[in-house]
Amino acid sequence: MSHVALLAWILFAPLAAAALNGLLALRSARVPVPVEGHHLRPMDRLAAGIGVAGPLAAAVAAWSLGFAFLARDRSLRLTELDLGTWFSMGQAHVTWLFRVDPLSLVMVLVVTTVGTLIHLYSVGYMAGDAGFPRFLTWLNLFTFAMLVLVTARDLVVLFLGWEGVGVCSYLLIGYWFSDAAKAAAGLKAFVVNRIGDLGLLLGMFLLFWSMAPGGQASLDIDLLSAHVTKLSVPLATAAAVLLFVGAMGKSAQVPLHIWLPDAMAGPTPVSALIHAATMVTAGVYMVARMHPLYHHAPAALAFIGSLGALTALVAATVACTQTNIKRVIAWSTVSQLGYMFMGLGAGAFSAGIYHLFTHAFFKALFFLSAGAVIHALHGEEELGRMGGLWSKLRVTGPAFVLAAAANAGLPPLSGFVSKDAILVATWNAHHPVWFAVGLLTAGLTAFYSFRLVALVLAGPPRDAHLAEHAHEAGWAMTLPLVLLAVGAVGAGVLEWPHELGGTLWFSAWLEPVFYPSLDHGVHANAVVDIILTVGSVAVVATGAAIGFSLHARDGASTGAPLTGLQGLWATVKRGWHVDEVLERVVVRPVVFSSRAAAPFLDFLLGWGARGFVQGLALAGRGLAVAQSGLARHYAMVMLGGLVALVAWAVLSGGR
Amino acid sequence: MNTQLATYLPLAPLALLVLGALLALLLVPSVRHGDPDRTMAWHAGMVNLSALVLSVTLWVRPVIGMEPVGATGAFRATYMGGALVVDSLSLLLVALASAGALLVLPGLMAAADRGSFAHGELHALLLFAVAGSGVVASAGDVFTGFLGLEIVALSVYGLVGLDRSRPGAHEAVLKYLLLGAFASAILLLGMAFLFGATGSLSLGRLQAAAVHLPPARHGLVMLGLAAMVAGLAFKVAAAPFHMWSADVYEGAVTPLTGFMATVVKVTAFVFGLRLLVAGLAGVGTDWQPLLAALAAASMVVGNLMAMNQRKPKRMMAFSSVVHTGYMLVGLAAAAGSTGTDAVQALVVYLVAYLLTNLAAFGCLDVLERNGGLDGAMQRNPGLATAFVVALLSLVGFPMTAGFLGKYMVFSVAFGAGLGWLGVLAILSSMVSLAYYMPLLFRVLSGALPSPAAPPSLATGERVALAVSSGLVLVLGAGILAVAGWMVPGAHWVAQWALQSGAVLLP
Repeated sequence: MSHVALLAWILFAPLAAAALNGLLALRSARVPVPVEGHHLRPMDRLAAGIGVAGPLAAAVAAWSLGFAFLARDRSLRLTELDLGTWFSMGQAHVTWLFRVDPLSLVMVLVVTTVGTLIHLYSVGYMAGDAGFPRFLTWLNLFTFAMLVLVTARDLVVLFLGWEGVGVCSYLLIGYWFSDAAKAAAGLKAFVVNRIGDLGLLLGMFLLFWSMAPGGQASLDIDLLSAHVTKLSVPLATAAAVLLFVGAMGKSAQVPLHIWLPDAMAGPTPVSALIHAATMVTAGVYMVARMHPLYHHAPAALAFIGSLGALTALVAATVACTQTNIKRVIAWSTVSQLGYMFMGLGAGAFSAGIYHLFTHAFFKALFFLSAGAVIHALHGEEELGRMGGLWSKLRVTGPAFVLAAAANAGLPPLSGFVSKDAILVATWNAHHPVWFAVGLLTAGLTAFYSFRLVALVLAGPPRDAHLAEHAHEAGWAMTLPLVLLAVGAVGAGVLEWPHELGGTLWFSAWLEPVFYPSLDHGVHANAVVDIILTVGSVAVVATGAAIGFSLHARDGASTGAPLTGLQGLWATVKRGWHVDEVLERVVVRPVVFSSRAAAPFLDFLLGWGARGFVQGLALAGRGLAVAQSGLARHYAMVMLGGLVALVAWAVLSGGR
Repeated sequence: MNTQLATYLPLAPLALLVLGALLALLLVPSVRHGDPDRTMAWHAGMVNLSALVLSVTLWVRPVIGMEPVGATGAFRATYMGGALVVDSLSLLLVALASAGALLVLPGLMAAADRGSFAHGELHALLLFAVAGSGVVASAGDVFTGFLGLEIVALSVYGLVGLDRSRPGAHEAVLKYLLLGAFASAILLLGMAFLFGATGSLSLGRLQAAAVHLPPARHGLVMLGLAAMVAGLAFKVAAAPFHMWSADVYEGAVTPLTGFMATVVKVTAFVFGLRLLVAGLAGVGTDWQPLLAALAAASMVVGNLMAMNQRKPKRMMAFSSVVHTGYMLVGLAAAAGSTGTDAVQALVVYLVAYLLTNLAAFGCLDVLERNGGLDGAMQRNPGLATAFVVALLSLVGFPMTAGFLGKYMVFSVAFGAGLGWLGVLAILSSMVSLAYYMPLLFRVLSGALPSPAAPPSLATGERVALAVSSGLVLVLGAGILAVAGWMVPGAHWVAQWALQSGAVLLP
């Protein structure tokens, strides 16, 4: 099959699956739901088949394309699918141009491969749910939108994917809509992401109009990249920072990270797919994709790295204190995303993308095995009622340990390789502070990962009754765990360090993309690299040992490990109160102003009107003159407007 | 055909509408046989359809008497000493108004069946409203424009009050009439000032006179301008001249609300384009801050009010105030730029807005009759899909007409040096999600009300909703070539909009 046809398969197989499942969802609403247990209706079986086949076909096409690329010369690893003009008006010209190059293909492989496994897992996880085909429809649609995002060649088309994954994720977070907490979580994700989108859009418009004088008014990424050096540095920095604000929202960077832990209210497969492997990494991808712009704006890059380092550290501390299994992993994801941005900030674009790649496997594994634990405990998510499950969960247990170890960065797992690449890059890029923060974060990561392992699997059960009835899930859930575990362990081979006898295949693969950017000279000195690596492994191993031994004891609590730490523990557990502060500064004013301002506005306008009409006598009962309903008040407001307009005209025009 | 007569051919769509409306008046009392309601509906439908087809045909294939303007393929024909003009922009408005009337017709007929008002008057008034729109479309003179606007307004007053059984209809029509009279007086006042300053009301001559204006008269022109902008702001429901709209929209039957929110508003905007961009271009860009202020006020007030509405229809009323704000952003940008970009963007927005709101109000009408919004996707997937498309377009989601319009308008705002207004507009469209998304959620996953009755929906309503929401998608997706199959809708609209800009600029 030609490369273009493969690209078409990658894009449209998930879309076709979404369409078919959409039709099934409409039909199945009329079929009664089994009352008890995890049984699939015949229609659900069909939906499951379609829902898994779509991303699977895309994954097969993506791997075929990957191998086809490998057989080609480096400079020829590019395929474009042109579907014509979207719109062309005035200076704005946008085309439906989808492009796969080595960078996009990495993202496509992650989205389709990890995506397929998560789709399969969710068949087992969601079985018996009344809206099963509807759930799969949105999951398929999400996959399609994500693929549009990572293959778009125009920023406007990228924005289409960006908003598409957003809408799908709100629908999936708020999946059981009767639940108020889930609806609230959906709303929160929504409000915070709007702030990010505002930045992204402003950045896009700024780029568009600042390129206009040079005759390059376009948002075609390749064209922008080619001409970005013509921009003045302050302008490029402003655009780069604005675009990054969009990435902060999507990829949950401080202080826009607050939505991600709450989004855990959604079903666990959704958390694995959207909030670990794919959507939240869209910001990292976008920054890497726009690397010539960031290369041209070093200040923006420094900002990204600093914010990434801050996020990595803050989120890692919070993850140490959480008592809900999913929230630990969610905070861990925020932390790892910060790590990726720290790598990008150091100019190590391929190291950042590599961490994105390995993270997709081990974090999806982490979430899915956590989901299997929750499933085994009939929906229990609190660590305080877990423990002693190792002997019960023969597949999930080892998978969970592997995921934790990879997350912690223990050699020789994939997490070790990618984390080490970022740490070494920060050191070699002369950012010792980022390096120190990264090292500290690595220690904390190892601590909370193994704290989690100890609390879930080790020791005696904290809830004997729950542990008694714990059972392993069916093959649809365990098979993805096994396959993801293979990825989480083996993905490290692709970038195994030179010093340890490996080959940097992954960076070589991305080199044609990042060649003009800062990615050179990162591996400056082999001896220094080895010292750094040994040091970070020592820190990680210590963290892991402390985390495990403190919490594997009999009667270990989920609270502070030392009594002296309790005050600090409580503060950290509340996410350093960032949430409350932001809630007060950002979220509440939005909600509040709408509630408060409407009567206030009415009051203002209504009061003004009454003042004209009836004087002060009415001011006393002028409260709540909402849209008063009286024509004369409306007329008075109109008159006020007219007076203002005329006054303006006379004052400004009567020169 | 006599060539002398043939030069009047471009006036055919307008003439057809006016004659059709007059004929409807004659038909109402005289049709006694068969089903009078049906006859009248056929009459109204055919007149509107012919006007639509005629105006599109004339745009595609201009006839004798239509002189080319510029290199874009735009053209213009003038009559009665310049009082009547037929150009690309007027044909577009006639097409939009008659298409709008066609799309609300099935809903209005259903409302007439349910309510207790006569079909005949309904169709006659609707035809007069469209004919008034046609007069505004062809206004080469400020006075012609005023005349057209008043024909539209009087017909719509009648339409609002037609359903006497409806609670709130009386109140709505009275409010609308009183405040409308006030606005018309302001508009006339502005015209008087303008006439006093320049000695002419012809848009062509205003353009010339404004350039050579003695400085002493400048203030008088600005005074006239301010008053006319205030009058037009009432017609388009821009804050703070918007307060009537929520009450009137709520008092009217929903399909009629759709007509008011779309055709009437778009008509007033086209007049605004003619007056401000073409007529007073010579005054310079002095009036840009005026429009920018109205735009900002409309976006802020509309959003804050819309967020607090419980009834979807009232919410939609305030949301259309917000959309007025976006359109004013486009108009303000047109003031500051010399090219056709801004006018083109605004015209695209007008088309997108018209289609989207026709779909949205149409769906709202049918859904509220059939068990409400909750869980509509499961009860009536086709209808709910149309509503979802309309909502996404209102939000400005990519791939819908609404996105295209917003993208264009916001973009020209930045290009015209109105960056702050552009930022406010983007912010406003982010905030607007707060009241559109709950509706989306309710339709997609809301709990089913217990008795899920099959929907009652006339075939005409089905067709109208399918057409309007389908066009929203066609316009949003642009020219999408899939396996050789082309959908060039957006291209045509863009072309038409471009030519509309070309005829306005000197």
